[in-house]
Amino acid sequence: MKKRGRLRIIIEVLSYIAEESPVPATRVAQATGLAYDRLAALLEELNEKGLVKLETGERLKRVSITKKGLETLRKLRELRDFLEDLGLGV
Amino acid sequence: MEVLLGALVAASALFYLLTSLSLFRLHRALGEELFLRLSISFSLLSLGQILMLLSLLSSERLSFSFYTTSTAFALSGYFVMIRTKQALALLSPLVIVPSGLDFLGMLTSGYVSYTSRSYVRAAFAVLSLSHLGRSLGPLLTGLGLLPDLEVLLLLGAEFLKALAAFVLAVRYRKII
Repeated sequence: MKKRGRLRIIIEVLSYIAEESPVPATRVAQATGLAYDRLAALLEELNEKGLVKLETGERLKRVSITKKGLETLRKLRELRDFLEDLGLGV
Repeated sequence: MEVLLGALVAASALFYLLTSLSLFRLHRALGEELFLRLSISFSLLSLGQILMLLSLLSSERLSFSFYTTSTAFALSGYFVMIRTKQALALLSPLVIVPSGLDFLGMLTSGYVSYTSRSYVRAAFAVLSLSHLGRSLGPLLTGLGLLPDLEVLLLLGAEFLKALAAFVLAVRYRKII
C-alpha cells in the first residue's frame, strides 16, 4: 500500500473534523486510519497553529475546526490537483 | 502581435505571483517548508515574466538586459522547484555549458516537466521548448543561418512561454 504523504493526512484529518466537528479524537483516528499517538501529535501541532481547537483533559477528548482551519482546508483542497500534477504526491 | 504577447506575459506574471502568494499563505498557516520553496519558485518565475514585459516596453539597450535577466530568474525558479539533490547534481555540471542560460532553462524546465503530469507536464514541456527557441535564435544568427527568422523565433518562444502560463492559470484558476 502506498504511504500517504503528510499533506494528504492533514487534508484527511481536517476534512473529517470539518464534517463532524466537534468530534472525539478517537473517532478521527479510526476514520483516518491513523495511530492514536500519531494523530494526537498532529492535532497538538494543528492546535498550536490555530487550525483546530482541542478540548483536553488528561487525554485528548474532542476536537473542532476553527475558521482559520476551514480556510486552510479550502486552500489545500484547491491546490491539491495542482500539487499532485506537479509531481508532489499530496 | 507584440500587444498580444505583452498581454499574455503580463497575465502569466500575475498568475505566477498570485500562485506564489497562495503558497506563501499556506506556508504561514501550516509551516510546511515545501510551500515556502514553491512560493519562492513561482515568485522567481513571476519576476522573470515581469522582466520580459519590461524588455518589450524598453529601449533597445535596456530591452536586451531585461531579456537576458528574465531567463536568469526563470532558471532560478526551475532550480528551486527541483526536489532531488541527485537531479541537481546531474544538472549542475551543465552550468558551465557555454550555450547559455536558456539552454539550462530548457534542461531544468524539461526535468520539472518529466517529474510532473497532466497539464503541468505539458506546460513545462512548452516552457522547455520556448527556452530551446530562445537559445537557438542567437546561435542560428551567429552561424549565419536563418538571420531573418531570429526575431520571429524569439517572439514565438516568448509567446509559447506566456501561453504555457496562461493555460496553467485557466486550468488551475481555483488556486489563485
